[in-house]
Amino acid sequence: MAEGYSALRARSPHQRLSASPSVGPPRNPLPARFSGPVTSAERSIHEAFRTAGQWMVFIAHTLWYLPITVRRYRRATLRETINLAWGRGSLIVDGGVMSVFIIMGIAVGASLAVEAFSVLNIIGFGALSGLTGGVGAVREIGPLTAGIAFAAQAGCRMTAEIGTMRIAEEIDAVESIGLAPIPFVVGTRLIGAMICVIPGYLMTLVTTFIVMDLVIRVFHQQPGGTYDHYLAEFTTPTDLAYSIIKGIVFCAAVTLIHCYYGYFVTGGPVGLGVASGRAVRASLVAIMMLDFILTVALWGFRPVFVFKG
Amino acid sequence: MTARVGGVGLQAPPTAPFRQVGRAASRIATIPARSAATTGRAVQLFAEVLRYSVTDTISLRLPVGELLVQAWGLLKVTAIPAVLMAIPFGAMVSVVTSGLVNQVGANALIGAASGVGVVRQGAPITAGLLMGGAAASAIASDFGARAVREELDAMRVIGVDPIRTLVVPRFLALLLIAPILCTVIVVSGTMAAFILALTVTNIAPGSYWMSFGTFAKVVDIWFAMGKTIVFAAIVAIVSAFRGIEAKGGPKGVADAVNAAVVINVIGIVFANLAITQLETMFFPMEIA
Repeated sequence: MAEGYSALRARSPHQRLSASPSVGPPRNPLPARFSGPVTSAERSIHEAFRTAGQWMVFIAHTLWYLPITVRRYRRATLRETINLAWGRGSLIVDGGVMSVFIIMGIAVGASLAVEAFSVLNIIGFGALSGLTGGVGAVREIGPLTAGIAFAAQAGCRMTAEIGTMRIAEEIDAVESIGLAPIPFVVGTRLIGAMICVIPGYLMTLVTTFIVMDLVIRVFHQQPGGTYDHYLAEFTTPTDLAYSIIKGIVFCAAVTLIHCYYGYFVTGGPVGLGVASGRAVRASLVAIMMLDFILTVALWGFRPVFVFKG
Repeated sequence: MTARVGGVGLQAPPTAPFRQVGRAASRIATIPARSAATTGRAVQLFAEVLRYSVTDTISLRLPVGELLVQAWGLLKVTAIPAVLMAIPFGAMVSVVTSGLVNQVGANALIGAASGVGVVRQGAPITAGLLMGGAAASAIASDFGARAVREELDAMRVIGVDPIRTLVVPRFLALLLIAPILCTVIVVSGTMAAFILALTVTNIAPGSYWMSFGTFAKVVDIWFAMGKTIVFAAIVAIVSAFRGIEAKGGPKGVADAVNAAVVINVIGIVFANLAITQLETMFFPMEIA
């Protein structure tokens, strides 16, 4: 019974198509073996170009209308900023991005410290773990953590909110009275994200440092001086500035990706869930790709470390 | 104009602030009880899923067809992004460590870095995040839509347990694809790290693999697979639970997906921390 139910659900569209060929789509005049692959390839190329164009127009619209957002929608921007940062006031579910930044900072900082210490200790460099804080956390792990936390909490919320507006035909209604919805719907969120990300990212980084310090100095009883020395030596202002640039770029990319998938959602409640999944997937891949590109662009293909002493 | 619930701009009578404060206080006071209840229901769901997984496997009532269809569907949404995430990750590990090891003249250690970075941490976390993002959205939106359309209630009415027929196949499907994803990421990430290491430093391929093998052991691969399977279990239970408890229209489904993704990501990083700590305590690293 149970298997039958689920199998029926899964197969019903196919069965409907194959059982009654007479009501299928109209026959193509060309024989199937000529028309089939050509049209499908043509269609997929067409589809790819259409999607790329939609992306470009969407991003261009958002950036082009940003001045309008700043001029006209200050209150809405403030509301979105608060919504992004604190949500409905709880810690995780329905909460804001700040608490997730801190929670992720704790977990990732502790993992990094445990792993770095266990590796460096066997070659007698236990106290050199400060170096992984100064290099690993600042350059790679911190921005990656912030980007992933932002995508999981704020990004998903954006897809859900904008997608709900689209499904409830609010966006279409705004379009039909001749207003451009993008500066209100996407622009406010982009600016809100940019306002949240700098303090939020710095908080992630500070949390990571505190937790690493705790794990290495208190739990593993390493000499604090050596740890501090290597941490301070490799945490330069330039690196911190580059690290913040990385965090900002990740959050901007995540915002645009999630707003895009929410803005063009189709297919009701299930479509909204599917769009959310696609958006998370796309933003995770984008974060990793951008991380590599920015690492090479900011620090060079062969980064140079200077041991001062 | 927006569909936001609650918040600013309510036209309030003068006594409203006191009432609002009182309501907020009572809401805060019930938070611990409510979160404990939610956690309890999730644990109940987990226990039931485990029970049916075992008993149905023994009594051969497991919906194998549905399980394979689900596993293929979930693998399709996670496999290509896994490769696309693993390649830049491995490359990034090589580029960052190359600068350090060049400076201290320990070129061979670059293999060790990718052994530790990719195999021990990168691969399970990447697989977990993809399952917690992409697979979780698929599961939570499916269950959420069914809950909102009252399909799950209808199933219960006709005597079909949705946990047994819908959650168990997805749970087992996710457990099935977890090691596959982990392997895909380990292989593509290590290859990317290897190629980049050869490009940015003039290390011999043999000494790269030698230092890789010195630091990355077979037990690390087992731990990476085990971590991924634990993450898969977390993702399956949390996403199914959030989907089943979805309420309201499209917004309810979207909220369920949103909550599932956040809880998954946080659960995964904390589970990773716990397992990493256990691994370093009971299987301390040693150089062969």
